[in-house]
Amino acid sequence: MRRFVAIILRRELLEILRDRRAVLLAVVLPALLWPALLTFQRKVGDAGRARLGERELELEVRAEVRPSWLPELRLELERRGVTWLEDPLAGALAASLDRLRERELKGVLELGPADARPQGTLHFLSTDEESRELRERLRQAFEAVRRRERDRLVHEVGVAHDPAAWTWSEVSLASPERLRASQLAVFLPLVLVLVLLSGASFAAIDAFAGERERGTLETLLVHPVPATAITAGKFLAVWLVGLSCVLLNLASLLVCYQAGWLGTSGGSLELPPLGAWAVLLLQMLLLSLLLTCALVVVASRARSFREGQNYVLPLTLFALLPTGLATLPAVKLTALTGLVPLLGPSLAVREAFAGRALGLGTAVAAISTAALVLAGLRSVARALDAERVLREVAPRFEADRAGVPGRRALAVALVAFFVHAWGSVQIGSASSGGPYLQLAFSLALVLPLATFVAARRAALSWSEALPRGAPRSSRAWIALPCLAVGALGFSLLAWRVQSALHPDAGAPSDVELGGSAALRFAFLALLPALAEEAFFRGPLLAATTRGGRLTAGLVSSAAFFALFHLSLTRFLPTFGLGLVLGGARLATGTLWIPIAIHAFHNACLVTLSLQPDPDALLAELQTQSPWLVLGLPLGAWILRRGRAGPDRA
Amino acid sequence: MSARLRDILLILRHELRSTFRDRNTLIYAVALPIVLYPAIFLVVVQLLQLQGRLERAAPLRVALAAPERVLGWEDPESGLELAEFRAALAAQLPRGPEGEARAVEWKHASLEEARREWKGDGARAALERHGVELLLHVERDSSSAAWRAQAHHDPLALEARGAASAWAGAWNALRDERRVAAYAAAGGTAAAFEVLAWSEVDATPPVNRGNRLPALLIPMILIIMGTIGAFYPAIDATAGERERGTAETTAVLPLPRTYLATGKYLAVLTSALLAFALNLLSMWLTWPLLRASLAGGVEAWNLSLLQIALLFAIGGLFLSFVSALLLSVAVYARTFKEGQAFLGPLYSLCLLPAMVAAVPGFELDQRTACVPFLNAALALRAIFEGHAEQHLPALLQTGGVCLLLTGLCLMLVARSYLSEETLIGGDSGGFWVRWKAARSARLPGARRTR
Amino acid sequence: MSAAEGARSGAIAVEVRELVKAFHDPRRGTFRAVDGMSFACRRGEVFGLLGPNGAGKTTTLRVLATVLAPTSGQALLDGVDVVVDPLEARRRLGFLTGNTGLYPRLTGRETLSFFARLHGVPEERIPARVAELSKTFGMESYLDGRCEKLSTGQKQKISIARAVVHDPPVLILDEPTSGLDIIGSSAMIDFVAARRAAGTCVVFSTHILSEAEELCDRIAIVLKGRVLAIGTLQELCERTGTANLRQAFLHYARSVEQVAPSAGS
Repeated sequence: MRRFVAIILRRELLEILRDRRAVLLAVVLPALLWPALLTFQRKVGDAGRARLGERELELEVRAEVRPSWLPELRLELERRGVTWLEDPLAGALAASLDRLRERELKGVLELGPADARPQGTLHFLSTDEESRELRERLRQAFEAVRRRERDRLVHEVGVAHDPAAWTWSEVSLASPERLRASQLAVFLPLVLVLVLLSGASFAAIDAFAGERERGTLETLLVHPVPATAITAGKFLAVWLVGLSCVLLNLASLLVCYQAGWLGTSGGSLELPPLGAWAVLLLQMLLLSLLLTCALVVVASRARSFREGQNYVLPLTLFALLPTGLATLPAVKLTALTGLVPLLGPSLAVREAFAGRALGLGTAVAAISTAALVLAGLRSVARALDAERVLREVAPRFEADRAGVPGRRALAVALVAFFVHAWGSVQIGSASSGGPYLQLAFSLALVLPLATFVAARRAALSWSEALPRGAPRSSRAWIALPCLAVGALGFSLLAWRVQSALHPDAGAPSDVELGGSAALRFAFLALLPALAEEAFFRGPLLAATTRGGRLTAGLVSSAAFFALFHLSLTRFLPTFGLGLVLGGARLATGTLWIPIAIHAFHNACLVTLSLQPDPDALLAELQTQSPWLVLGLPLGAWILRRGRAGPDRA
Repeated sequence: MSARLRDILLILRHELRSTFRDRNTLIYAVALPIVLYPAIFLVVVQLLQLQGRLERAAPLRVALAAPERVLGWEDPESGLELAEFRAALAAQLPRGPEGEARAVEWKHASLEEARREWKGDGARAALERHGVELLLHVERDSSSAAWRAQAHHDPLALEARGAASAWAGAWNALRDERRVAAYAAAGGTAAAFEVLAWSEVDATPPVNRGNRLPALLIPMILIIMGTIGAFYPAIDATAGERERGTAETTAVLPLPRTYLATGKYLAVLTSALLAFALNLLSMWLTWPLLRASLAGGVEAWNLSLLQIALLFAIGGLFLSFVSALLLSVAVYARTFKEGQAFLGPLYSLCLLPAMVAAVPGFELDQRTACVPFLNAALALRAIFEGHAEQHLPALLQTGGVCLLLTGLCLMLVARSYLSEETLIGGDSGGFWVRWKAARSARLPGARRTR
Repeated sequence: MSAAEGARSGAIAVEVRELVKAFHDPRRGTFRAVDGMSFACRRGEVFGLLGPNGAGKTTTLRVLATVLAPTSGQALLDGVDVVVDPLEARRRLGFLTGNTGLYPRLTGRETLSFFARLHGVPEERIPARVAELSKTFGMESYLDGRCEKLSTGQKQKISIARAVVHDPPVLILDEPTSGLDIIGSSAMIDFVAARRAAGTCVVFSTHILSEAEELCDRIAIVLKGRVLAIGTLQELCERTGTANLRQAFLHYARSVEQVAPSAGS
């Protein structure tokens, strides 16, 4: 087995090293790109700043009062390259401001009397960088003048003890070298993730998807070598390539840092003690293995080189999120954050550099990542499952027809979303409109129109787009109360999670709507249930689930449903609710069930908002919400039994 | 409609259909702007807010070693009591976005301990013993009689980094406050001590006031994303067609090949323009999102109709150049992978000048208007900042340079696209080999272009 | 005694019994690509599976080559059950398809050595074996060039050499001539004939009648996952009372189509 792994590994590495592009990505880019890019950026930045600093800037001064320090200020300004224009016969201020806007002047300084002290006003142009530069120079010059003036005043009145002599000193308990190293280390996991994913993705796609595309995979699979040995060899090759990319990039970055190209002053770095290194290397090792697993699993799912590339981008974005989170100082390594994939090891690396190598968080991060790596390796071992690999032929370059109605419906949803968002903002900003007009616009105009257009564009029949018949099984009516209660509980639970993330997001019972109770029920419960279900669970879901794409259809219709609520803070609850409603529609085959659930859900929230103390009631309900959620599995179970009956018969 | 135009439109329609059925193009030209910006903004804003919340929620923990009365002079009784001093110092700490005060957890330490132990490893041990991130030792200097504050902290602990500077600021503010008090006690007035009441007024027309930040960011994004919008279609229209095996079918159509080249070029340009427009639209739509989440600090941006028209004029000219440039290189690619290998370096090389536009000190003038990519980025920035009309000659020059380069690149496309080498040549050789080969061999029918 | 009769007396090298391979697709449901196929072939025999596209030829050969697991039934390769001991079965097998690719950035010599190592050919014997194959197929001039730079014919020769680098007793060829020109396919035909003479059992699939007529000792007519008839060319023609293979094939194909509707009702 080991021999075969070595043979495969050798071939993979040989092929990768012979590929000009791969070598370019892995070796030349880090060795040349970082230094070149950083030098370029620094040179350009320096040149730009120098150009700006050298420029002589014109300031018009309109002084009604002449404090004693005015000549001093003028001197300070002239030393900083500001031309002092003072014309006692200058015209109106408005004319000067016009000249400022024409960018003939860079600033206008007004000095006028106000009570006991002079009042200085600087007119500048925030969209002109020279004017901003002038403001900066003026601030500095004025600060220098003010310091001297204050010293003079204090001296004049004869203050015996001047607090100006009081001092503040800071003693840092870490050497600057250590500090610099730990500051850089914060970005170490980020560099690792980015470089490994971009450097090794080529190798991974080439070794799995590329081999499929070339037709060599089948040949390889009929050789007397266990598939796991083949996968292991390829995995190691990808991992080694990624690791060497990371090392090269780190070395190059370090050189740039030492040379002072990173925009910092540079200087030497002191690395953490040896004990911390062991932890550090272990975490980095696990992190790189985990990322390689993800890359290999993703690449082995792709049928062609091109498809593989399409998968790598989202993977990179997903990986960057937790790693980016670890650069925030306030995010600390605890047992809980240690559990989060990628975040845990990233934080542990940071801690190791800060000299706190051992702790519960570090251990949790290492163990959880190791467990994930093992799970990842298991799915990697199945990556070359011949049944799957051989049956999925390379995709045709033109998308297949089955997805067309779905795409058309999604396009309609997108347009409707923009119209809805635009209308809501417009009506919301107009004082006369009010929330009812806003609701009426979206629910009675945009959504019905979108329903009609989507059904037409996706070429759906009306019974297909809006299934209004009886549910497939009469058990659906028995399941309905369970589902409705479950959906409410689910939504409340999601709110709880959301408000833990975002405390000032408000409560579901916040309804800023006047009017009678009947009006509220009509506009907040009945109308949304009808209009929203008709579109999201109607043509949108029907078109996107065509051809058996259940998951894709459910997720995309729920995502649009959530988007339409125009609130980031409510995304999670509405998205979850969208999934439940979509599931109910697919399981029962009629729109009436989701409409009923939706109406019940909204009516409950409206009822809540009508109570004297909605917040207390809500808190009470939310603690009960985990129990209410049980309605969902119960309802699903009833539906399943109802569906299984006729099948068995 | 003339027959020629109809033929070109026919090809354009065909190309567009196949372009927009390609997943890469859809992702980069359509999905990315629509989904990515809101998502990134959302994530970044949430993270920043999370950071701020976590930071504010955690109290600043500090161990204070100070005498009974602090900050007095001559008469020790004129100083503040320890509790007063704590409150006065804490009041000077930076406040949260809604003006809420930072919570502070005070620990008491004796002066003897501070004098004796707060050095090197002893200070580190004291930090751990007190469970704080900062040791503050305030005492009067015996020789100069001035008050001295000394803060010990471990900057390796990330949370301590911000704390040290916050306390330094608070100390300095408190010192200035005491200085004013001392001055007033000696007979001066606080007003005189202020020297000058200072205010700054932004004279930018209100319409463009919020455009400063987007003016640095958005031109670069538009250029990058517009170029990406042309990237995949350019490969798809050339190498993609060979890979699909339809290149020869297209070549034997009873149409002059220049029509084919024109149709393909227009399709690439359309995709680039679409990406440009969608990115602008998406930025415009998501900016309020950013503002709403950030509660102040970021202003709204506005564009007048003239500004939008100018943006599209310059953007369109620029993208027509980029499309032609990418196409003129992609023509030599045999496979999709190869196309990426050819265009990738070109693309990253082109973006460097565009990045320069975000650096201060560069402006659109007669000289910068000659540098491709840089000129467009600077022009877009000037339009955004609302002073494009002051650079009219340079704007015209930018447009002219773009047009000229478009023409040059299109000539290259026309010449190579019609050569035997690029149409049916073998797989061997790299970019340069094929480029040279394409110079020599022309296909029958190529002459009809003249 | 003809070659076919000689082969018949040889030991059975490949045996397929009641083989079923079902695929499950969430969009189309379950369908049987191979639906109870049985045949056997002997050493030194060239056995052809003849059928239209989608008849289940490739799936059968893939099951034989151990890359797909059968749903039910049995497949023996040189006496080794492909399900019980797939690695042993693979050692006795050479496999080649019409669309086999090569690693573009390896040279021909490296490709052959790589696959020889995977087959467990001792390291010291590899250079000699590669040299031998190179001489047999006349590849000396381009064996050290990268595969991506070779012509289609040269690539084909390397692929063939790759399939027999370990001198397997059974050779499975899946539409080996698809995409080849006259010279390429005649080289392939010569190769098959040479293997037959060397006592190898060759199982190959094709939808080209002339190839089957020319090469095969025995032919199995395959349609919709089933074997409709097995026999020498002569036997097939005699049984159906037709003059050539084309007519014999059409005869069987029609008989299935006539039966199918009545079976469905």
